[in-house]
Amino acid sequence: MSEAEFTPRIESQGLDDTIGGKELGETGLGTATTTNLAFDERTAARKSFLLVFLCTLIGALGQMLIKTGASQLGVHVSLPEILQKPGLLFTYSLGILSNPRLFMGYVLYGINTFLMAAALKGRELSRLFPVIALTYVWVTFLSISLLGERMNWYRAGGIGLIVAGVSVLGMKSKTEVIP
Amino acid sequence: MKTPLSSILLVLLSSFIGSFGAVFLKLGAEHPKPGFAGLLTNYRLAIGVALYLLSSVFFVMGVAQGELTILYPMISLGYIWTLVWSRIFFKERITAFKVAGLGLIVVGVACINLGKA
Repeated sequence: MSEAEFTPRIESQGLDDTIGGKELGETGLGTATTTNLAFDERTAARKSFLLVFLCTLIGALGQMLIKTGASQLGVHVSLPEILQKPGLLFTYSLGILSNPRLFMGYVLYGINTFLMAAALKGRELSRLFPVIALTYVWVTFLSISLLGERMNWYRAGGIGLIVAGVSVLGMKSKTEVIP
Repeated sequence: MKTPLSSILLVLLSSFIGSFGAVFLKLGAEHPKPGFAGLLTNYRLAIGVALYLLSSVFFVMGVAQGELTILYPMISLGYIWTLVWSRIFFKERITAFKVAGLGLIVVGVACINLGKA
């Protein structure tokens, strides 16, 4: 735990910081002495960067499975019908579970959640937001190439704005840094 | 392929429910219990996971029709709710970066919908 005292602790203020806030010493990489702390820190940062990057690819792949599975399943119920008979929601859920593509999509989503939690634990979230936002880019690419959806400048520009927006959202303002 | 309004509404509902899921996961993380058993008996986490599953059911219903290039980016509108809930439930500060980021996201989603035709 001694290295934590040498690292300025910054309160994580990202929107998604449910698993943040842990110290470096708990990532399993902080066992070395303070002399190679900077090296450890860089290795750990690169590792979580790559892991989050992998997560965006898995997430986009899962999204393809969910979309194509959902199209196979179709919509049997409308929202007003569900409000009248909430049991229909349960029936629909069983339909989701029995569709192989949707099932695999959910499995990938679950794996993704665990990997992401491992990658983000104790990390500075602000730098990872732009990576997380890449999922929007991959989903768009795959929708065009695999699902035959069309692309135009409005859509491309919109995706660019969303990626920029998510990146800005994760940025820290100077006033939030706790010494 | 056209994207029906019902699909858009279902995805928006899904992201709204999902934002509550995030609140409960955060509450669960703030009240940790030791060990793997502690993870399973953490009822706040359980509620969070249940809300995420519920939101995913509406998402599946939403993307059953329509284009994913239109519908998937709409998930990002959930950040609006997340910002509101983190202010109300966790007293987090709303910074200029967060407002600017949300602004870009909203304009981005609007832009994508302009390209719907």
